[in-house]
Amino acid sequence: MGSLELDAVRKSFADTVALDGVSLAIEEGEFFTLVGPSGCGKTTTLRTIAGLEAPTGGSVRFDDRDVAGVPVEDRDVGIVFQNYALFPHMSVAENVAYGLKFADPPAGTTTDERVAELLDLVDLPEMGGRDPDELSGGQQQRVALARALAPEPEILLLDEPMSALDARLRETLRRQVKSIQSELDVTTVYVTHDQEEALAISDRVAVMNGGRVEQVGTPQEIYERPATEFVASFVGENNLFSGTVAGHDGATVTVDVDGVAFQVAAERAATDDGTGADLPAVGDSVTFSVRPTTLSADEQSNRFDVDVETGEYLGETTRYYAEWGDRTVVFRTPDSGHQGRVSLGFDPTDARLLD
Amino acid sequence: MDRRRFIQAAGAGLAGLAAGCSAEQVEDTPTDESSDGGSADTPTETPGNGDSTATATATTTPTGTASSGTPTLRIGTYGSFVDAPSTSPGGWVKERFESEYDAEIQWFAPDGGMNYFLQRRQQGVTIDTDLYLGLTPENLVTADTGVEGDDSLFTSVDTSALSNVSNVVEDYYFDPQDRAIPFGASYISLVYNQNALDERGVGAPETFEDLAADPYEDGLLVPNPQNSETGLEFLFWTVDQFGEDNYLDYWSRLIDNGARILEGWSAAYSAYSSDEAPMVVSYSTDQVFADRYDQDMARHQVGFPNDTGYAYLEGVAPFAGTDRMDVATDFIDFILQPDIQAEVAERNVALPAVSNAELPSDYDDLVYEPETVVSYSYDDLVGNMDTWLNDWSQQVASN
Amino acid sequence: MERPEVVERVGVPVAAVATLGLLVVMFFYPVGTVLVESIRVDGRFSLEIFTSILTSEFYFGTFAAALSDPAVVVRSFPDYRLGLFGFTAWQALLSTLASVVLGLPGAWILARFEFPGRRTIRSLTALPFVMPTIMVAIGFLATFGREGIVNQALLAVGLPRLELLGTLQIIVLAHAFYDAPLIARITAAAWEGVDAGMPETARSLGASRLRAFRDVTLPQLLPAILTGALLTFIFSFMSFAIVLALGGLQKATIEVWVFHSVEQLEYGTAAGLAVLEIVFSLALTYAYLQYEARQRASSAARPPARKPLFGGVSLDRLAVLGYGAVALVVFVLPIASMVLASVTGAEGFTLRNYAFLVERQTEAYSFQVKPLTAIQNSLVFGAGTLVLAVPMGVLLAVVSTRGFRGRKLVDTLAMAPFAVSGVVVGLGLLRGLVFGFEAFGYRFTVSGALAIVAAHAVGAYPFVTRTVAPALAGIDDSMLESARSLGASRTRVLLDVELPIVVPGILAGMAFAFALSIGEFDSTIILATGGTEYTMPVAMERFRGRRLGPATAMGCVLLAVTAVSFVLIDRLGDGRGLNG
Repeated sequence: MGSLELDAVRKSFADTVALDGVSLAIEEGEFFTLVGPSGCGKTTTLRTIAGLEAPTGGSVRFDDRDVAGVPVEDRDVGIVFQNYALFPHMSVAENVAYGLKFADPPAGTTTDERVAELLDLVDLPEMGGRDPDELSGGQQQRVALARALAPEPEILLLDEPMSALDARLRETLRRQVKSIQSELDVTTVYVTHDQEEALAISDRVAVMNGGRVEQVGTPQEIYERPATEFVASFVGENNLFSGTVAGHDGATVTVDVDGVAFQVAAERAATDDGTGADLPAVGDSVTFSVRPTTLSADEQSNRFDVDVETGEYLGETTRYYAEWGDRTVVFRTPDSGHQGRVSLGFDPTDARLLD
Repeated sequence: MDRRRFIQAAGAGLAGLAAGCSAEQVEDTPTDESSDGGSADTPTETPGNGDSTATATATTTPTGTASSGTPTLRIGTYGSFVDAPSTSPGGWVKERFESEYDAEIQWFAPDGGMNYFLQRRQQGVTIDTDLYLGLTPENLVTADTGVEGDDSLFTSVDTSALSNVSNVVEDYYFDPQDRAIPFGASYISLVYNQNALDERGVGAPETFEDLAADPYEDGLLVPNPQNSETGLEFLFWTVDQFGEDNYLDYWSRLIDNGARILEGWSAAYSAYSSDEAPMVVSYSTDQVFADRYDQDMARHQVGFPNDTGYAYLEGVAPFAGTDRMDVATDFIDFILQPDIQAEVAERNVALPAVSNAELPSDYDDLVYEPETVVSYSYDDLVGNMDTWLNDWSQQVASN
Repeated sequence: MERPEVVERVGVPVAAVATLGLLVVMFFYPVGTVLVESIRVDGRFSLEIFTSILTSEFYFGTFAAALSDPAVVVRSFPDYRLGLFGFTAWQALLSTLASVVLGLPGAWILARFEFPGRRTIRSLTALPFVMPTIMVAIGFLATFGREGIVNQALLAVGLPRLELLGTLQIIVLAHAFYDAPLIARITAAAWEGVDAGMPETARSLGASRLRAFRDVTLPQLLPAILTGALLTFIFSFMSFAIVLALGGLQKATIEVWVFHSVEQLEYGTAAGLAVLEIVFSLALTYAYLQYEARQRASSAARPPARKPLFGGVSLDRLAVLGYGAVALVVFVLPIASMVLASVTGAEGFTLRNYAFLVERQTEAYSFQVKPLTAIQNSLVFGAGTLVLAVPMGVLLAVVSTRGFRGRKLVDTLAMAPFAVSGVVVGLGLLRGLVFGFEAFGYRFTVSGALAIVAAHAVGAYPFVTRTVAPALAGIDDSMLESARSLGASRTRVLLDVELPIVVPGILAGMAFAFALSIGEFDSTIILATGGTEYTMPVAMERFRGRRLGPATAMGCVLLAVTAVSFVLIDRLGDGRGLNG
């Protein structure tokens, strides 16, 4: 119950291709996030799963049932939109109860009991009598969630539900959403443009760009072993260096970047199926990434000098933007006093070769 | 909105609306046979309840009386005969007739006047009315040219049954087919406000040319001949005065001088009462009304341009196919009685059609008659009336 | 509880078919029976009526003459004859300009100022549009006539009289009376939808207030203004009763001629003219729908701030004062004059006219027009109109917001009553339904009362649609998609979510429909021939007689009934009507 599969789904609108062959396999009870910049196709994917858009190619299967042609009202999905879309003419309780007009409440409960149960779940007990316009943004979002969950959908779909909220509220609510989801164990597909949010709450993440899936993996895999340049720069901050392979000796590869030789760990980012690839040959062009947090003045290997331009004090750390030749290098350190010329280095194992 | 209550209300509303539909069997006899009930214009007391219920007598006999009780005589007429805000004879006539005869009068004044009945005849719908009271020569011409072949909308009565018919003024007869019996008359004339003219420094208008001259500019209100008998007969009057070839030129001068054409006698007269202009085309019996209501006589002066006045004649005739011919004849007999004629004339602000009407002594002082009476006969109007009106209309409305 | 699925799946299509059926019976068939006369001459099909109209100088002026002799265009320069059509279009154009000029400042005041009674005044802006022509004619006579209030005021300060009646100016002014408030209302609603941040940004970039308005706000108001202007043009083009009453036959429009032809039983000419009118008006209606679609009734993130109307002297407030004076004369005075005339007689203040109404009510014969019966009838017909017009109008609004090919065409056809004169509708209903038609050996007839309700409903439902459709279109898609995701079928979404949300719009449409029904005259006078089906406007006409007195009293009653019922219903919907 509740597994979801997309197989080479394509979606074109008049003159644009929104989805260019998206394949995903989402497991029952999983919290699966689609993340990417605006226009990458994540919302379109969500709407295709919902049945609000019909794919122009490929198939969507719920539990191995092809749902092509099944309209949204007959698919067992719950949706929470970015603007919550609460019905203004109904009270909170009536909103939550709406889906139960078309499906019976779970065995052994009445509609009223189910509504109360869900309002408790989203931490809004006794609010059933209120009108939606009396609620704050966060409260409305929770009502929308309760409404979507009331009829026990197979799949819960959330389309950027936090975008309209301030940062502090966002963090609180997403924890709540996550805890509710795992308590109910409902398969959830979550769309967001905020990669930090994606990493924080997902079981697995799919990074999308230009209508395609760049990488699917656990948050750790995505962050620590980005498969492509795009993923590397989109997920978390990253520095990308392009250069030529000068040589390798088993564990490390030497890459020449503007005359400076860097030692990079030979292990490449794992591809989707976990197989490694061959080491690049001498003379090949390669790109490797180094996280700003792993660039440090104390690290002795791979040293190079940068000129600090600006520093952003972030509390625990300070983020510095520095110039190295004609590139910008970003590094983060608890030390807030860096100025002018700084010498940095990084451990070879902290660098990742990218496809 | 409680859904159930809404549906109940809507359902009740629709049921009410549906009650207005009806279906009646079409007889094989000519559709002029009036039948009891079933047609849409039977007057009812409450609105929305005009549906028919099939009456017991679905077939008709030519001389049948109604199911029971007093026979009903339905009389069509023009609005102000029965329902003018100032004075109308209709109610009095009904009461008096019903007290003298064993019959009931139902007045029926559709907005289109005689044309309404002509329309029904042309569409093959039962007329369901017995008499029309208020026929003018123009009406007859329209009615006769509007029906096919030799059929007529109206029919004649047996004049031997009318006791006072010999006293009807000979000149008042206007129907070559002797269907319409005259029952009233008046003269189209100018009515003007001496006070207003005094303010302008001009005397009373003497001729038609005066009306088109500078001293009388913006001075005349004319009821639209297209929808008013008064205006139409005024138009005929000018045709007589200037001839068929020149009347249009006169009108162009008249209008250049600021004369205004308003959409009916009532619109023109009430504008005149509001001092919109010092002169209006109306009736020479105007002072009968003014005297009755103690008005300032200076505002009710009667003028006959070129010492002429146009004869306004009204008649009554039964509709062809009525099955109440006997009661209809009784009614016509009744309305020609001298005392009835006098009362009707006064209430209708007009002149009687019989010479032996017992009018109050000062009536003559209040009614003015022109030296020369102008009048177009039925034969004059046939074939010309429409042309004159259309030519005139097009000229006036031209831009 | 679960409803039978089949009812839900076929709900909307069945209702659509029922509406279509009603429309055919109440409108297309009756009007068709009249229009068909334009192509029937002596029983055979012929286009000669059209050719004779199109080549007639009377109808088409120099253009018609040019059809047979193009050189006449050069010869008669610059004295072109407009012809009836040309004049009608010309006066409609002038009326539109006047209405826009008089309406826009009103929109400014409604949108940008705060003052007590603002909501009520906003409700009342739709009132002039529904006033029966006889009332407006009488009011204008009392105000602008030779001895009217305006002239008396001018004489009192030593200025010469204005001869206004019988001129083109007074006709244009009367049209502006009807339509400028509507333009004000529509434009004000659009104005409130313009985000305040936009002109503020323009000003921060250096634009003066006026420049910011011109460059930023005005372009956003244009669709609304054009919508109102097109509506005004269409109605001024089709106008006849007010033209006849205030301008006289010398200023006749096409519709006057249609009316005249109908009265003379010359149906061929009437139908031919009506067809040409309809073609022109339908084209304009189509354009109107295009512009209306461009107006998204979206709420601004931050609507423009309001300034208090009363306060210290400022340029703004002086402008408001100036406009207020003009508005008073044009919009309020005619009505006030009528009220004043109803209590004035030769002897000064008098209640004689109202006494007449009471007398009539108590002493009249059954065949005479009685005030209370007229009021009752008007209210009953109004209710009947609602029963028909509201469901039809709402359903057509729903259809017009669904996307499908040819939707604009269906929309235009549904708005056809805009383009057809009340005279033609009334006549069609009389001949088609009241006189009845024969089938299977039976003659099917419809009572005059029902035909009157049909005529009113036909005239009213387009306004319901035009109020509800934009509201429906403005509902966020996510609301509908949420409902569907919860299991609701298309019909359930309509019933549970869409319609309840647009209830204010429906109520506003209802208020309008009711008021239109009360004020309807052209069709009613043709159909109220049963003797007891007269309405208040018909009673006004009957009471006119030799003096205006009794008619003005009846007019005041009509005004009171209309205003009260209108404001009541409209305020229920929070005063948002016709793209509010």
